Amino acid sequence: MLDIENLTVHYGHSVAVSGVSLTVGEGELVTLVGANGAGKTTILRTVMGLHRPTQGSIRYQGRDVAGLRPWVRSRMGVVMIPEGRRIFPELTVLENLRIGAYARTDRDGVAADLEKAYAMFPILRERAGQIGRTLSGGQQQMLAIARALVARPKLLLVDEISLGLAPILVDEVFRAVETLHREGVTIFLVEQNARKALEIADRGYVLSSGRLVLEGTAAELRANPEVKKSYLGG
Amino acid sequence: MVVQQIANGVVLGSLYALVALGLTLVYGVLRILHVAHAGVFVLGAYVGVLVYLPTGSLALAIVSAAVVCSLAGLIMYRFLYRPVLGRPPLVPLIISIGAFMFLEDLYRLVMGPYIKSLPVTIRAAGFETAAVRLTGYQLFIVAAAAGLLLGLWWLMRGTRLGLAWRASAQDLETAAAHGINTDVIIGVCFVIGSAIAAVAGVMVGGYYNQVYPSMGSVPAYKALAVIVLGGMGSVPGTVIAGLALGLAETLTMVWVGTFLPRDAIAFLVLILMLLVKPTGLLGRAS
Repeated sequence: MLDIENLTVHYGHSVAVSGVSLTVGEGELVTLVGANGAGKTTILRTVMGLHRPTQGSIRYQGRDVAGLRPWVRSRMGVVMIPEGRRIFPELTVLENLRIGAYARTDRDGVAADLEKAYAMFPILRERAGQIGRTLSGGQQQMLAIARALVARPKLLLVDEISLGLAPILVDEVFRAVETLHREGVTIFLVEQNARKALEIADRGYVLSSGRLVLEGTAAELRANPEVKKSYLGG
Repeated sequence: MVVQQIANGVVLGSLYALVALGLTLVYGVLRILHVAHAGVFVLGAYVGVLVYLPTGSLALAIVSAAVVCSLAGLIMYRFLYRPVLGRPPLVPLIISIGAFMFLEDLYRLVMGPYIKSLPVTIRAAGFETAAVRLTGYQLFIVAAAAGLLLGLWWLMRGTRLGLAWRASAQDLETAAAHGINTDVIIGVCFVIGSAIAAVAGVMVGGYYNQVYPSMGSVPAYKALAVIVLGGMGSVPGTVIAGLALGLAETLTMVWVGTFLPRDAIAFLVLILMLLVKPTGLLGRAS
């Protein structure tokens, strides 16, 4: 579904990502783990179209999307849960969700997906009329997930979904990602919390200083002594 | 005397609000200070002169000015600002100041350096009591401003486009990633902001019965004061700040007299505001 080949991205004059090739197959949950600043977010943003690659190709559903603007990719089914949640702070919960479904024209489908989002996070229904910035961090993350869900993603890009959340909430948001995966959404998950990510992923890649250093099934990576030492806390 | 000055202040403040709105809309989505916006305001006034003098129709003058200025605003976005999006804010700012100076001289070259008159007459009756007297034209300015602001409010609060617009103003990148064509939204901001400035240009030209190349300079810096006062990017803040500035200017005439040049007041208020609440009336620290 997603094929990245030899991707190099610069931030200003420094190289953020260098010669990365990876694939995410249809229906797979693939994770990209690595330390803070390894370039994970840059890769995700480049797939979304928020950042221009210096070199390399990005193919989505077999089509080269490198020249397409972010909203075009979004309408093709590429949806992102951005790092730091990035909910719209002055919009209500419901308005945030409306933005998620903005490009869709199937009213019935949107209504059904809205129900699904509320069923997943009942607190959002209670807070539907509340302004986004007044939600707690955990609720904002739920809103960011729900906003992506109502876009009916084919490829969901998830960026550091557990960052800054209390452990109990970390479990809840990971469960939500797993649920979406089980329903057939292809997921590309970028995560510092490698332990959690490798628990739910099918396959994984390890990124270090902008380069891929390891890849394998989630089980292989969990068992890898190098990964254990550097990313799973020994 | 005081009531009369309050009425005058509301008229003046409505005009300030209309001119500053374009700046607010553009700043809201792009975080660019669109100084050349005042040049669009002057263009509106000149189109008003060119259409009103032969036809005698104020409505036609206003509509033509709005159409021409919308296009001008769109062209500025496409060819001046869009190529430098993502550069440090100083780059578009300098481009914008340069464009403003270019426009002033262009008007001087094409239309001549002298004042053109715009002798607008309006059939609406004025309003007169013992304490206050408003001409039909003044009433028309306030009514038109109120109508435009209400229309804008409805557009932002009551339509799908408005929802996308507010989202884009809050987080342009995330809006784009959620299927909103932010290029179109930005274009809409330039079109609407420029059209409103055009209306203000014709009305100001008619109010003082004069249109001249540098008539945008004072509005340019006052509009900057207004958007800072209102809290950068806040539409209701801009309206309140515009009215407040109009009132402050006319009321100091009453209480302080002409000891203080009127045009200095905008900046005195601005300095006070920055000392007390740097984020402006309705602004929020980001």
